[in-house]
Amino acid sequence: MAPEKSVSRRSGAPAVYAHGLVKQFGPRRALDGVDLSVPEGAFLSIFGPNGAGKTTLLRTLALLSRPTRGSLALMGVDALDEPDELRARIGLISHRSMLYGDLSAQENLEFFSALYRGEPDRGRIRELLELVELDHRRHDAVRTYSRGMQQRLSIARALVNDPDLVLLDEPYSGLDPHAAELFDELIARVREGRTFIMVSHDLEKGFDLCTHALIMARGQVVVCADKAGIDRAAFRELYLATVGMGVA
Amino acid sequence: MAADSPVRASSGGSPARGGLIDRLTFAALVLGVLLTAIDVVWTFTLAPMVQGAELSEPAIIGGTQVTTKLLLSQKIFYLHVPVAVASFVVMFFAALWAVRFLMTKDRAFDLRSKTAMEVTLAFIVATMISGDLWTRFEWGVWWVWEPRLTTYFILMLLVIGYFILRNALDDPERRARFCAVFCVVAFIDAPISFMITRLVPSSIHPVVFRTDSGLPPMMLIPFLLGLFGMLFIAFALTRLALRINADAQEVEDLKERLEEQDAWKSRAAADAAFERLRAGAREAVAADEAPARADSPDASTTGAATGAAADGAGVSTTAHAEVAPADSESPDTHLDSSQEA
Amino acid sequence: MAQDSKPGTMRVSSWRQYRALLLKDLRQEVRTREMLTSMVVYALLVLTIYGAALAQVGDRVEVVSFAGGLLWALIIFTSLLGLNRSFSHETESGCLEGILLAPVDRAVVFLAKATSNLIFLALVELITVPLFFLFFLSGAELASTTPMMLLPLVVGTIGVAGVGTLLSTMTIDTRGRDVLLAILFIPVVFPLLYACVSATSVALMGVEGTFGTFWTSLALAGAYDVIMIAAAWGLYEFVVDA
Repeated sequence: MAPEKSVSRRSGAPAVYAHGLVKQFGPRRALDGVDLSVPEGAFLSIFGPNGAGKTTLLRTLALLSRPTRGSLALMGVDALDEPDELRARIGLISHRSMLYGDLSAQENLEFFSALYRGEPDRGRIRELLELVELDHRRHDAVRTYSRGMQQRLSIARALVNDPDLVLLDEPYSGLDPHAAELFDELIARVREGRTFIMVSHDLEKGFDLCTHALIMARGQVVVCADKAGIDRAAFRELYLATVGMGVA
Repeated sequence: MAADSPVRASSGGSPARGGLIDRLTFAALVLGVLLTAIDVVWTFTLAPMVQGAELSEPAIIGGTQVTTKLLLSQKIFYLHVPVAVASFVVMFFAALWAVRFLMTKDRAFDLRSKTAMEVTLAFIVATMISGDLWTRFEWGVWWVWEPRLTTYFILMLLVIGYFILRNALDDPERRARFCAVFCVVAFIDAPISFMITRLVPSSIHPVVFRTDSGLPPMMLIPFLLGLFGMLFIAFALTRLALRINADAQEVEDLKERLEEQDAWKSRAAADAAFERLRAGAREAVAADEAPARADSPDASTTGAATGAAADGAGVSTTAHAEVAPADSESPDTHLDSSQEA
Repeated sequence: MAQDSKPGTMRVSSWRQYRALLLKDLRQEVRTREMLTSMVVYALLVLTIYGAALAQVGDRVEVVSFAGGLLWALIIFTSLLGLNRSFSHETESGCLEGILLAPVDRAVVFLAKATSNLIFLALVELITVPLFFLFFLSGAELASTTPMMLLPLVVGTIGVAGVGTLLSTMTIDTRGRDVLLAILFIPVVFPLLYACVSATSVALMGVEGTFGTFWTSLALAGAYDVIMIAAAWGLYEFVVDA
């Protein structure tokens, strides 16, 4: 009943392949030559100090921001040539819920579903609402939800188009520990068959969830590696060092 | 005027200095002032007096009957119209550069567009003042909602709005984008405004003053002199303002860089620290490489840059994170990953 | 902005996306009635001010000669208020970004928003225009051509909604957005206002032989609509896409 990946679209191509991404306006470089390759099915956590370019990178991957230079392919498709084809395969969960407070959960999901498919996919919406355990409140205005419930609903919103690539932008901000735990559980349940990329300040959580970890500073990738190959304490040390020096 | 110069701005947006264009700037300024001066002299010596404004019929404006007497105030026409035309020409370039900014997202075009808008504002204010004086002395009122004046009044409001919009946006990229869009909208709006105020007859005042034909040579020549003079001046002013703005922007950029350097103590130290950090990272990864590899042969390689894309299943390192000889005794206490040493 | 250029592929039809966006706006307004209530109340306040301002004008006939202008001032001020509100729901929790994540043509987003703004403005006019007549023209002898004022009303409202949607998208995230929208909107919409006031005044006064002006004004207002909405449509993606 949980909305599994319907069709496995494994292509063998990396979920993200970026080369030399630069986002620049004037002298300021939010991204300064980012090379990145994320294998399909991975969970990549991106860490780094404020202003390191994490959010810019995520927005670029979400095709909300065009890089000034460089190439980007998602799921083997050129993201700069075929953005619309890829947009249908990407989901984004941000710290902002991206939900209409005056509409109900059902109406919100129907709206976003219709944007992707033309008609709302009611069967999938029911499954998603059951998954995030908001079935019983589907007709209440989202405004009346707690922050945790809103964030769960925003998972459902991000999955409404059955994305291959799910991006998370500081999803824990504003969540209490219990809500964060619930959030993690949900993510674990929809993990199958999808690639996840998360930007987070929370090193512990981010490191627990991920299969790959990346540290950014000054718009560049400091290190990006398989978690299996990283000593946690050393990584922590490295992260703190980056945060210490990166505050510009 | 303000020729679309071949000077391609550098990344900082500063136009090249001392090139042909720059020398032309000075020449244009001199020429422009000269032409305008001749125009003014001609106006008051050789050009004939005009029978009032060429009203289609005698009319009551502001309580007094406007008659066809000889009007000295008409002389302002020789300056007023060239200034007005120049302001519109400069605005055309502002819109053109705005479009080019939207196509290229190159900050240099934003700077040009903004500069041209500044010059436009200056010329529009000059137009407004001279036009206002004209209405005062010709028709005896300070203001009439006459097509030309109305258009220029709206144009002035649009250009002022442009600068208010500029100030209201903090993010430079967004500011450039929105201002470019508004500049285009304003430029489209201005001629429509003129058409509508002119073509929609108003019951109060007659259609006044057509300049398009019938000027005797004694009037046409100074008018053309004034027009070209003003266009040269507009070109020179735009170039000069562009140079000033480019300098200002460069100073801002440098300031920003200085601030950054401040935070980092110095660029060199920062880069060194950054390098060590990377080295530390490689080391951290490399140290734990062996066990990881033992687990699954293809699991991870902190691969060379080129390999990054190829090995889909394992670690994706970036081009930056090549395996390097680990300097286990990183001297920098700040960064040393001594934990696993 | 090639809208729906490849209908054969997996692309969702732009028309359906447009409908979804529009229905969402309408449903939200039905739920909250925020925009409509505030606009109608504001319009009533403006009418009250007119009442005070015209208290010394005894003769109803005189009012007719500038009623067109008064009516359009009312419409412009009221629509400013509504346009300012029209994007507040979209940015409140990042919904606009949620929309842009989907494979939606940016021009469709613009058209949907402009349509919903047009509908709300029309609804408000449905209430305020009769009230205007009731308050200020009830004693006056109305010309037989008065109903013709509906034409400039429709053409003008379309233009206001189109241009206003573009400009309010730009001002939504700025400091002091309420004032800024007015500063940008009023000069841009000025030619339209000028033409509509002219056409409306001719219709209200109904003087023989002035109807050439009516049609000229109406045609110019229509041309303004076409040009400005085309420009807004084309420029919209530059406003929303970074």
